[in-house]
Amino acid sequence: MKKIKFLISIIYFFLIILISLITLFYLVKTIKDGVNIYFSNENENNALERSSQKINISDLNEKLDFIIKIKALEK
Amino acid sequence: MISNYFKKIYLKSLLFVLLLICVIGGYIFSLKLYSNNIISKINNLISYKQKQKFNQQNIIQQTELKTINNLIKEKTNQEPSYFISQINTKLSISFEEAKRLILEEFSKNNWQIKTSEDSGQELKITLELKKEDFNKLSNFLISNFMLNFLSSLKIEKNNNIYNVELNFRQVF
Repeated sequence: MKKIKFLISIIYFFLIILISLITLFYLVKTIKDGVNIYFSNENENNALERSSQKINISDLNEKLDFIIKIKALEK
Repeated sequence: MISNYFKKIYLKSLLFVLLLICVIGGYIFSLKLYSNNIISKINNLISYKQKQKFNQQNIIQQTELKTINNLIKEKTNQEPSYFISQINTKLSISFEEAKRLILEEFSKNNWQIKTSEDSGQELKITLELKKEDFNKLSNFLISNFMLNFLSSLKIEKNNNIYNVELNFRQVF
């Protein structure tokens, strides 16, 4: 009887370990996937932001002044 | 009697193991479900952030566009689309058109060409001009973006007469 009790307690112990490992596995997997998705997107956005050039108004102003100065708009 | 007893125990333990497998399977299934749920929520958050960023960029671009349009209108007194088409026409001119325009300008102003060589991809012209005409020529070349085709320019001043040698070349 004692042996059977011992066997059952060992089975329960392994069961708890198994469930804990499964839980831990899914927890790590979810965090890893989430972090990957989130940061890959963040990097893409940053790359897009870097590639989109902002228009320099003062530079445009100078160019317009130059175009007017050389009378490029006259026929 | 004993075999019947063991049979019962065997059946009970089999049932217990099956139940255990079902419970563990259910637990794994629910964990997977939760995991997918969290991932889909992260995706939703990302798409919301992207939408927000896109809207922000759109607003910034529209504001910039308005500023540029206003600047062009203010500086040139022209509609931006008309202004761009005008500049574009001048910038996208071909060498043949440029040659035609140059010769047209010369004949319009009655500038006497001393020598002229046209080899298809190159046009060499020498002419004599007065100071006013020389200014007119330089203005014409600059305002029509002809400097793009100008490969060499020689100017010699003799009293009030300018000897000008222009060499235009096709740009590839």
